[in-house]
Amino acid sequence: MIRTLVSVNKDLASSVALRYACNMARAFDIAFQAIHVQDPGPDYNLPGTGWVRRTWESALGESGKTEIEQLFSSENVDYPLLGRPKIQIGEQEDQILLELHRERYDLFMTGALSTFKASDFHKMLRSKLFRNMPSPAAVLVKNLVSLDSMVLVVEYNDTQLKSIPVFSNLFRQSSLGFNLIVWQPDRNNDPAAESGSDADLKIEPITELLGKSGCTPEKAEFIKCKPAGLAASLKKFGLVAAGIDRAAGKKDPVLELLARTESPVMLLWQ
Amino acid sequence: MRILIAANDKPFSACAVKEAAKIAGETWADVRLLGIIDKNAGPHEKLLSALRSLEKDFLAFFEGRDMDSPYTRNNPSRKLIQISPGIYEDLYVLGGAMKDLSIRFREGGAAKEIIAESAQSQSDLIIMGCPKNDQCTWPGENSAPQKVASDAGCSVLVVKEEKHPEKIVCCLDHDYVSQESLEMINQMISVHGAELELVGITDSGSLKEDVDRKMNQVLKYYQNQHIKAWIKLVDAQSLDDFISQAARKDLIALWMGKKSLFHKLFPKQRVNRLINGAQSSVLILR
Repeated sequence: MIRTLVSVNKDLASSVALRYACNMARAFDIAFQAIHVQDPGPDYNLPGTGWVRRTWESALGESGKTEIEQLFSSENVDYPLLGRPKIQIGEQEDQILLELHRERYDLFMTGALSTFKASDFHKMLRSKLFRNMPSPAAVLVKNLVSLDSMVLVVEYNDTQLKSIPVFSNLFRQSSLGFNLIVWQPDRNNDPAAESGSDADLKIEPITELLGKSGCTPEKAEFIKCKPAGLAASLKKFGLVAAGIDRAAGKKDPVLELLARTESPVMLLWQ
Repeated sequence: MRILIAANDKPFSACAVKEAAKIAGETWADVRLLGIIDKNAGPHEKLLSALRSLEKDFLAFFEGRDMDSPYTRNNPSRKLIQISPGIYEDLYVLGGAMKDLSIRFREGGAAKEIIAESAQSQSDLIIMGCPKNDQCTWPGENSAPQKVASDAGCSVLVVKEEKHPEKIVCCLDHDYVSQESLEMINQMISVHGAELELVGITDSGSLKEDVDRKMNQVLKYYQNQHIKAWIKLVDAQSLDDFISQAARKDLIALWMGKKSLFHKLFPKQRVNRLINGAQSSVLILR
């Protein structure tokens, strides 16, 4: 079972993430633990101890609990949960990191709505939370789509292929099939698949590695194109998985691809 | 629903009528074709025959379809009608059409008269065509499409020639969205077989609480209608870039509310630029 920590707030992004979690529960052997971090506001650092502070924190926690209960009720959350939603008070990223370190989660999930500017995505991935999370993968729910199909994108120049074992561990717990795209960033905007023995040679090492870990793609393609061209063609998939380096810079093609992808994305840390 | 088609004898009016027929086929709206004439000139033959021809085009859209046209008139019949108190006349009546399809002319400036007619006839939607080049002009009054889009009290669809949008891109930056406008978008999706993208305008990276809540409601509405809606967040500062990019191939729909940023930030200029620059149609929702 994939143990997943899902971060929720009372907003559209979280509503979308909770509804998508329902789709994931149908496709994966998965259970969710929700966490909500209540922002204490500027008063948090004011001096105060004992009964006053405890009462204040307790009231804040109760308010967060009510918000999340309302959210769960409005989104008809009806899928395996690891426990009641955890309500924490403090700085959001710190509290989520603390929880990820405390419990062993296989996956972190959050609503991260698709944005026009790719730099918003870069900024998120450079955050303390994403740079330091101990879980091997993260799902960013950018849109609410049905999860009938998924795709693994592997960059052709990725020689280490550290993302494959991470993907295999998660995929083996799924009832879905998946497509494999071996992608070479290129100036061409049209994401047409290349065929022939040359393309087969580029795909084979990856399908072999996947096969050894018990995952065989339903379809494997070699594609050369710009990130934007490939991203547009990935809209038909309910989940787009790709390996990504935590230290990836702005110009990293995989980062740009994932930034422009509108379907939910699964980041496989490598 | 009432649709007002502002038309003239230019080719782009035929496109506007085609678009109107597609929407009317979905909504069974009452439809009026409006021609604008110079003051005291009276309807001239060329414009009258152009509008009659457009009316035929409109009706032709329904021919050969499975459904009966709601605009088909039955044969004339005789009916005794009171024409004024105590005076009756046995008149030939063209009746039977379930929905109205009429032609009307108004004297005066194009924008002013189109807006006046839409108010008088309580239209829900004004449809007008304009050329697809960068100057969306109307004969007699160049900026009529822009003025109507900016000042009309109802929704306005400015149709560019022969463009079929891939997506209906609906921009929202306030929390008032009328049921009529949601349904109008349904019709546009159905008419074009296009995808729907809901765009939330953010301020410093996040949606305002009321907009966030409204977008969620709109998303749920379309989910319940089994319409797949994609969400995109666009920062207010990048809005011009986003719109100019999307306007190349998508139909842009702007929800104009009293609190709308589109009203607050150079309203007329933005709408004018959008209408001039868009390669496909523009829908102003009210």
